[in-house]
Amino acid sequence: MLALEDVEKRYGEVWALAGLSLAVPSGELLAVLGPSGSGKSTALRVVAGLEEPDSGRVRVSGRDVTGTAPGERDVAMVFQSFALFPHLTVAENIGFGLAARRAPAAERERRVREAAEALDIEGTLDRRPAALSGGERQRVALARALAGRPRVLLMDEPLSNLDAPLRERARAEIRRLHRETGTTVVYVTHDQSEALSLGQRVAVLEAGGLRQIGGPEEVYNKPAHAFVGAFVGSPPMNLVPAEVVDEKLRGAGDIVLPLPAGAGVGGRDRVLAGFRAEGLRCLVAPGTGFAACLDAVERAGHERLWQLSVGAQRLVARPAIEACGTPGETVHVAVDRDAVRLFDPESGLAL
Amino acid sequence: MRARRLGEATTARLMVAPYAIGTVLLLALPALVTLTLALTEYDLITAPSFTGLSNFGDLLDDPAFGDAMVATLVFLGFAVPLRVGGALALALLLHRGFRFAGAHRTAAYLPSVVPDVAIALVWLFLANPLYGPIPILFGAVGLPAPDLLTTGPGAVALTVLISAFALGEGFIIALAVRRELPEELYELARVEGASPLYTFRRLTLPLMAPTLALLTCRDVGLSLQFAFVPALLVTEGGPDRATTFLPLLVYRNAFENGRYGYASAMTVVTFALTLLVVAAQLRVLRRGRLALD
Repeated sequence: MLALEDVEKRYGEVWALAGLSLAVPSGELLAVLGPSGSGKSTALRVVAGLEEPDSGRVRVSGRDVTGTAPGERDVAMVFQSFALFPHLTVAENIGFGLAARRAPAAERERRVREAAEALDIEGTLDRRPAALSGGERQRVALARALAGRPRVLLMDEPLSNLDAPLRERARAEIRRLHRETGTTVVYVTHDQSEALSLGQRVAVLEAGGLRQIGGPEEVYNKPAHAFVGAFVGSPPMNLVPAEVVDEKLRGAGDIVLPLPAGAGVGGRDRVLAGFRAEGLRCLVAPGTGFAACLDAVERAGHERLWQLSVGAQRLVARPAIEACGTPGETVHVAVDRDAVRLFDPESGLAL
Repeated sequence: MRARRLGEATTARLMVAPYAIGTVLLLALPALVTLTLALTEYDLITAPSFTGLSNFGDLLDDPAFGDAMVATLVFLGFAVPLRVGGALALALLLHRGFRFAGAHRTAAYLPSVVPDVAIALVWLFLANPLYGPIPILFGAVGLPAPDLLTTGPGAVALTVLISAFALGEGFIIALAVRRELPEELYELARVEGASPLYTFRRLTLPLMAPTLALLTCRDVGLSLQFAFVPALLVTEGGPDRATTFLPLLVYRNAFENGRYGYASAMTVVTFALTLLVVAAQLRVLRRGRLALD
């Protein structure tokens, strides 16, 4: 198990990590998701020992490793840049850590070969990184990280340097390797679709703090914080500041939303209401919902998105397949009661 | 727009012209003159007279020349590794940002902009056996004062030491190259459990090897200049010719003994010697490169 306990890290006036606590059970693949500056990379570097926290502890398999050298933590790392040694062959790159730790030559050779086989790069062992394709480099970086059989594998945006089709394959590869090795993996990314597709659980970070940790579905469907709703999912969750009036929610203009069953607004008269694009029903009978202007229709292969506006409030809907609308026309939409999530307008926390 | 009309090649030639003219006037012509004068006898007063290769014949029989050659090679053998190694060591010490890093880097570079003569005079004072701080310091801690000016090896050591401070330019180059090496390689080495020594041996040294080889070649050429001023001013070529390096011997023959032709012949041989040393290094360097590819 890997644990961060109340870790704080400050750079001058900026809090990179503001009391972050995270526990990753052994064998889990945790995706750490956040925008740039959210502290996700700092968290990874603190686990690796490349940065020392100002306060808080880091534990690997129950052992407190805070303050120990990176090489003594039983972790391995894959960098976004892959960080391959340009003057060493692929085999030497993969065996670098084993050689640095003085593993016997025979053992080293066996494990380099195993790691290379696992990643299907045996054919490149004698080559130098300059002679490899982007995908091969990424595999070498992965093989090197796995060759030392670390307890925890840390990955910092490992697919950002690959182009889209390669990225899909590499995702599947990482999923397979994780299944086969059973290593605990912490996977940092700013790409929410990558986090949702890879992570057994997803931790969403903002401003150095944990906003939510949970399964991909939970994070998508039940955001614990307005930020999570706005950051996770494509398109992001619609967020509407609303007033609580007569068991209904009134937003800007004519927007009317149903108050979810059993929702405790706790005496608030203002809330932040969130709902996913698919929770917005399009083309309902006038009078049941509210009117919105259809600004644009976005097509992305199998699906369409409607960009709507009510005054200054913008909304995104994922209309049913038979719905057709022309940009510029006024459409009537309504929001499903079950789709609405409420957040505190000040703290952003789910109610 | 004007450059476009002139054509790229013409523009390039125009821009190179000042340097080309400088190279011809200050390097090629003097070299040619020296090569010609090496075949003459010339005292700088009467007209030179052609003597063919006799100057080179004399060189072979001149014990002073043989001694100077050996002394020069000994000087190179110590001074070049010391300077290149020193430049590398300083670059590795000072490449990180820390408080007053800039001041430290400036301090490392500064001796290179101080005129050789000023440095030589300071060392003459420092090493003075009667009142110099170095003998006094050694005496204060109960050690015998080093014979820097009175023994041959001491004087060679002193010239090597003086010239060692002229590593500013090598330091700047090594510093720039080290700062260009991606930090992530070093972070990865740390995560993979590599010790600082292992990282230096397996990472820094091979990645900087081409630079170091280049610096070494350059330093061999420059060493002959660096050796001149301290040998002339501090040790005066002595004691007993111990620090009469080739450039000093050339100078003495040309301007003190009035044998300009003979001195030119020496210069030609010195030049050939430098070429030989640099060529040998380039060979080693190329083999190293091949091993890399």
